[in-house]
Amino acid sequence: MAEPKTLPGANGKRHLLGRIFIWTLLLAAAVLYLGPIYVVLSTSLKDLAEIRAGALLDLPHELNFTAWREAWSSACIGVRCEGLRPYFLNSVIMSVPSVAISTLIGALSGYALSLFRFRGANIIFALMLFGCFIPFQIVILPMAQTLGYLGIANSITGLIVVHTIYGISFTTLFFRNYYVSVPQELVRAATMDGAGFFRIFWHIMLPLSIPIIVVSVIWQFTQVWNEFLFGASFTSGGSQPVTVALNNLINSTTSVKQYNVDMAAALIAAAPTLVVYIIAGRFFVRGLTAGAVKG
Amino acid sequence: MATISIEHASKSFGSTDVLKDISLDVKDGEFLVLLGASGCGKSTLLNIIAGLEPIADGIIRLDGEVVNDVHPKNRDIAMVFQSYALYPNMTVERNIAFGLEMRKISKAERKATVREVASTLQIEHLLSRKPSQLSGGQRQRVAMGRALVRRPKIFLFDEPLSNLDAKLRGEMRTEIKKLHQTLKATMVYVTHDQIEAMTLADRIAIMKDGEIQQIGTPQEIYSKPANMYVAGFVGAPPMNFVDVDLVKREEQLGVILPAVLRGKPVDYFLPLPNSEQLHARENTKIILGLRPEMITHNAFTQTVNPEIACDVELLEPTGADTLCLIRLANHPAKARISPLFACTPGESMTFTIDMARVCLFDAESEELIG
Repeated sequence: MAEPKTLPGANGKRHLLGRIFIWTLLLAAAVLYLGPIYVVLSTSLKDLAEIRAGALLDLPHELNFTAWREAWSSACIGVRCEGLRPYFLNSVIMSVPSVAISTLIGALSGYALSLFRFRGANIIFALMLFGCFIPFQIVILPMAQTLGYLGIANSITGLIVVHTIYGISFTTLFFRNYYVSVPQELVRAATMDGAGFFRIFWHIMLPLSIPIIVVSVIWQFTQVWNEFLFGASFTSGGSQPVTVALNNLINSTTSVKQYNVDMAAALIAAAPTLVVYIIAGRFFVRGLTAGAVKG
Repeated sequence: MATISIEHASKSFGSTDVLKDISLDVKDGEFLVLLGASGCGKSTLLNIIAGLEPIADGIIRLDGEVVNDVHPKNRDIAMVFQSYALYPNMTVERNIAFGLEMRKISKAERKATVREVASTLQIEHLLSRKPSQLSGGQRQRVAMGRALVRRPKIFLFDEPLSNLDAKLRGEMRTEIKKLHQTLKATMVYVTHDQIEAMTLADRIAIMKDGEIQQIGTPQEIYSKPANMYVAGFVGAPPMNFVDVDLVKREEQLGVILPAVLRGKPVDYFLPLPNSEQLHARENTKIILGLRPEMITHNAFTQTVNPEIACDVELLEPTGADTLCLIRLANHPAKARISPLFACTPGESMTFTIDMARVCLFDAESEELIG
């Protein structure tokens, strides 16, 4: 098929007007979205005197990273004045296993639900999907009791457990829908070759799953890293994740409101998800749309 | 030694019976083709032999041993799939070796065996490629290689050539046949292509609606089809079926064949050999089955076969033969003649009918008479 551009009559005046309209609209949307980020970023690079002078939208006079350093290592959160760093590490320790475990379990259950259609597989899948629609608030009390019973309340391990369980619904959905488009004959061929359930999974299915693994990792990482409610409810003090710490930092007023430190802290807390998306984002879009396995 | 024996096998998916009381024996070294339209249960039967589908009822034996509950990997069977089902993430070499790898065969031995199979199939130069870098024909060869490498006692093929273009299909058909002659292994081959079935099979089993209609050599199936379904399924163009009256004239049993000559209906009397079975049906309606080559031009001045003259509505030259569209008993029928004798459309010409080879079917049951 020819490119739409090269079709006859595609470059008329009306086409040009249409283009201008579309570009204006896109530009407006971009300004709307990027505006607040610009303000946060420029404020974080100003000193307090400059902020007090007003002119919210002005560029900073110089690149001043003092606020970033303070937010990272010396800002006071409650009574501890160590900045976000320990909580940031908490979040890393919490996110990495949660993402890895929930992705692996999702892959395994999605594989079982789609390619080993046992009796009742669809019902089990439908029930698992319920998990995607249960609001966090509903499970807080029973979850707190369970964590207490298991002896992992107020710990990062507890949060890992919670996030893994909560994530399985989503990861199973991703992997199940991805594997549905994998031809059954592949499993049959491997069965004839003598591979069992786990070996087929390990040698054939997982290597095929890179795009959907990326989707699952980005999705889970964003969810777990940005999550606030569970972190605030199930942990306190030194084991809190960075989102809770950020909230506490901003609410720990000493004498003056240090807007530049608050802004820098917010950016630090948001950075990992952005980085993950920038690195793997291409695969994210591809993975969500890709279905058929060629070969 | 590898024989397959299936006794009274049944299988249903939900409320549809896919296989109904199938019994089948495959001899050692035999090439059996399961032929049928899609949905007739032939692939299910193959999967049952492979062990990929559990059997609901009946017994399946390999070499006399009941294998109803034996896992596919322990049946010593290899299978080639319609979509080839190559592992997309592995190189051709690993694809072929995967079965050996799963059976814990040493790396050196795997490598040697794969080389050997690759050279048989002339795919040595492809060993380091991924399946996505191969053409359809090459993928097909790799799929064959994957089956061959384990030297199983039974090979199963599930429409392996249906994704290839016509020319390649012909070539691979010949190769599969050669392979069978060299290996002398038992092979079961599923297809809906009657030409594949005719050219490859030692015996063909024709299936319809989960039942075997007829089992026999290709020649038996072609010349003595058990019923009208088989007769119509095998042969291209298909057999002509004509509703005729069985009558007796001057002590000679025969059928009345209504044709059209110069726009006017004419009836021809075609004598049949006297037989008791036919006598019993005197003055009833039966169905006359004529393959196109049984209605042909008269190459000799003298013939024992009856002649009919009728209008030719249309000609379809195929190169070697020309097909003539004529009208018998108000239905279009095809005759096969040499292009040298072809008339122009709209004219009439004389055909001889090869009465020794015609098939007669019961009008009610559609079964072959005699």
